[in-house]
Amino acid sequence: MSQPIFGNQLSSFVKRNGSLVVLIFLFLLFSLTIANFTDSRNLTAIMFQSVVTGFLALGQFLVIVTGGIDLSQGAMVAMTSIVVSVSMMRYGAWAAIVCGLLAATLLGFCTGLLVAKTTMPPFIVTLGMMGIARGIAMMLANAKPVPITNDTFKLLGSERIGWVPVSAILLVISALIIHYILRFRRIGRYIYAVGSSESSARLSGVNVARIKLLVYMLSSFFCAIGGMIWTARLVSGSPVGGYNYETESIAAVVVGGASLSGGEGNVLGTMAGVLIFQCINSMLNLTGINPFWQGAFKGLLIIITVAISGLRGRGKLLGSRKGAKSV
Amino acid sequence: MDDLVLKLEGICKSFAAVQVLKEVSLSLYAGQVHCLIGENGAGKSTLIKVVSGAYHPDAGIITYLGKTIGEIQPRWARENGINTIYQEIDLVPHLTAAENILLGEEPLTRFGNIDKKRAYGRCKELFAKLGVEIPLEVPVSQLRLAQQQMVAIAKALHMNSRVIIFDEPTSVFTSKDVEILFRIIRDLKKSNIAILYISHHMDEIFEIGDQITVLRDGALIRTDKTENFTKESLVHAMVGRNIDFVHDGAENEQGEIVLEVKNLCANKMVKDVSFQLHKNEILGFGGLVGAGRTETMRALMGVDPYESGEVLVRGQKARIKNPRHALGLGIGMLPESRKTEGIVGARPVGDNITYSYVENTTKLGIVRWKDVKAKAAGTVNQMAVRPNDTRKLVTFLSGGNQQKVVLGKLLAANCDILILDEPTRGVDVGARSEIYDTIKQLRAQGKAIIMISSDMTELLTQSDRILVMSEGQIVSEMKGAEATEEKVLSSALRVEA
Repeated sequence: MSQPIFGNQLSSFVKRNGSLVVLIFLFLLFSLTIANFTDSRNLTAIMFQSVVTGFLALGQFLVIVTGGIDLSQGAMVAMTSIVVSVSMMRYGAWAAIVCGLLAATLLGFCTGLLVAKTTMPPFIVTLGMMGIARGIAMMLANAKPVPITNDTFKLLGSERIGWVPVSAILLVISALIIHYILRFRRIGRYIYAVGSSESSARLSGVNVARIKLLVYMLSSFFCAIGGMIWTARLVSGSPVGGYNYETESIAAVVVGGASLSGGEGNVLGTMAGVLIFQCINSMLNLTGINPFWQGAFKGLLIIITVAISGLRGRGKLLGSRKGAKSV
Repeated sequence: MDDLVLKLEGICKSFAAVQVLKEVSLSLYAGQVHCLIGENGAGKSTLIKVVSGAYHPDAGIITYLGKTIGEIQPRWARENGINTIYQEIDLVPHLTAAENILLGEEPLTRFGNIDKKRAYGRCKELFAKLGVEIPLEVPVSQLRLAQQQMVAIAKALHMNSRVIIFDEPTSVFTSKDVEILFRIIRDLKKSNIAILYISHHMDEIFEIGDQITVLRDGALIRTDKTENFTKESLVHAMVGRNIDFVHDGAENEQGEIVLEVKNLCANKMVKDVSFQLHKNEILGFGGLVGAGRTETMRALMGVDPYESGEVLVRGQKARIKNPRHALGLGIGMLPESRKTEGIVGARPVGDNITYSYVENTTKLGIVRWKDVKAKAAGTVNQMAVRPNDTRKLVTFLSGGNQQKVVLGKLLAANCDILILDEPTRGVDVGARSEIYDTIKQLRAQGKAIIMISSDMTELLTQSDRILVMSEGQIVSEMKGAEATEEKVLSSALRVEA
């Protein structure tokens, strides 16, 4: 076993963290070409905008690594927002936060149970859960927005330390914890194993059902945190909000280098994926490009990334065709 | 030395109405290599799946380390030292060698983190025991297949195996890898592990085996010490079943050459294959599974690319680019896996028959549906598909009738060179003879037919001429009327006659 030389290490780092490289490139490009991009105000804005998607992407990432998908995230954000705002009117901020976390995690538990214990595909289970969560939100709120009056809770959306939002710090801490778990704990390794080859993992004694249950619960838990930050920023609970947020988190995860078939990817890449989208948003805003282009830009970015990683995969397949087939 | 580790007695197993194992008994002793051999479908895979716990026998007694066990569960097998090294290696592709070996058993530090140092130490220890060097930090999907197998063996060793089953381990190996594997197996013998070794390769079996068990049609034919076998007696034990169909014996008059393949090489599985196919001929392709027969046909049909060689269709050179091109030249293939490549189950018979025909009757993008309908109805009649209904969904037809639909599709597209890959697989006996009749009728009509078959009886009774392939090469040619099971098998196994 020869020690890999520096060039090798660098190229393998780039391969594993392609999205980070893209982020750095875009950031430098925009900093140099667009006035005000590196203003502290703009950077703060980018961070504020990244936080909610960031939490969702963290949960989505875990689910996708196990080979699943969570379509209920946007609805989960709306439900949390309503549960929190409604319960806050009676019990105050802290109790409301606990209610929100519990409600979402409970639904996540149901999702996880259905995915782990039945043969239903996650796509269908979470599609159903999306309807259920959205329905609960509509029912509780009577389909109307619920205003937030608690000033402590509002801080969740607006408090800053210097020019860094507190919510962003919260996201970084959460991401570090997940990174640590994936890297150094058994559970983390099992999450990758389940997504990479469920049957091998099961035969090696991994409790596959428990892993699946866990990731869907975590996804909903992170939706709850993201949903509360979103509610605090909006200063009201909204039963119709959060539409299509899951597509944004899926996009960030995919651009971040994870494979939809599971087993691949890392937290850093996912977070870079989130920031890439927000940087592009900010660029479009600052340069005054018609905001209606934003959707098209994002779409193009997703297709390009996946096409590139698809080509890479195919190259590998041609190189060792038999190997790829037999594993 | 003769420590009995695992004993199977009177194991029976059926799938639906087919009995795959008939009262098979087998004993594995510590420090001995027991080889299992038999033709395709003799029941070898089923037997090892019973041992590894993937299947549960219908009857029979399993004794492991002196205790009788009702049935083995996969998890129990692993935890109690019975491990299988499958041909399709059972590792988690994205995890590294070290992570795979210790999956589910990771050593932890005081804080509950995974202890990388100890993990690597343990893996290095295992690899040292095996005498191999494999990078620990690379995902196993990037390792060579032989290396992956070593990782699987290391994993089995880590689990303190008493029994290790090798399921055709060398099918994708180079000769150097085989040497390494054999050295490892000899070491495993020394540490008193019982080994069950399944292989098609005679030489390997005689080199490594202490005992040999021969299975045929799910029944145990002979178990004996290796030195009591000769290659000839082993082949003899493998063959010799009741023949329910007989060759009609007729020397069929061959027409002109319609297809000629010269020195075809493709994807390491097809090595320098040359043959000719005549009009009015059924050319049988025999050999063991994995001999490269399907691969040859896929390359020829343009499904997979080929590196070198020449294909002449009716005397004209043709580099067939894709199956569509092949159909245009009148070459049609009935694929090996009917359900995924042959039929579209959720569509009606009529649609299925005319998928390749529709284009022939399309002018300026407009399909003449009347013509298509008539063609479908005509073909259903001609092929005697039952029920005689073009609107019936194909998935509701019996296997034999589905096969007729696929054949009908090729005929509707005016194919006169037909490549049939395992035409009667999963077809019951009655429908079988009907398919044979159909094939013979087609021959009489002047079609040229290639038939790949792993069913020895079918190959011997239906072919006018037989080519036997082994390891990607054509190793022998014989007339259908003169071929015997022994001759075909000897060349497939490369036993010098």
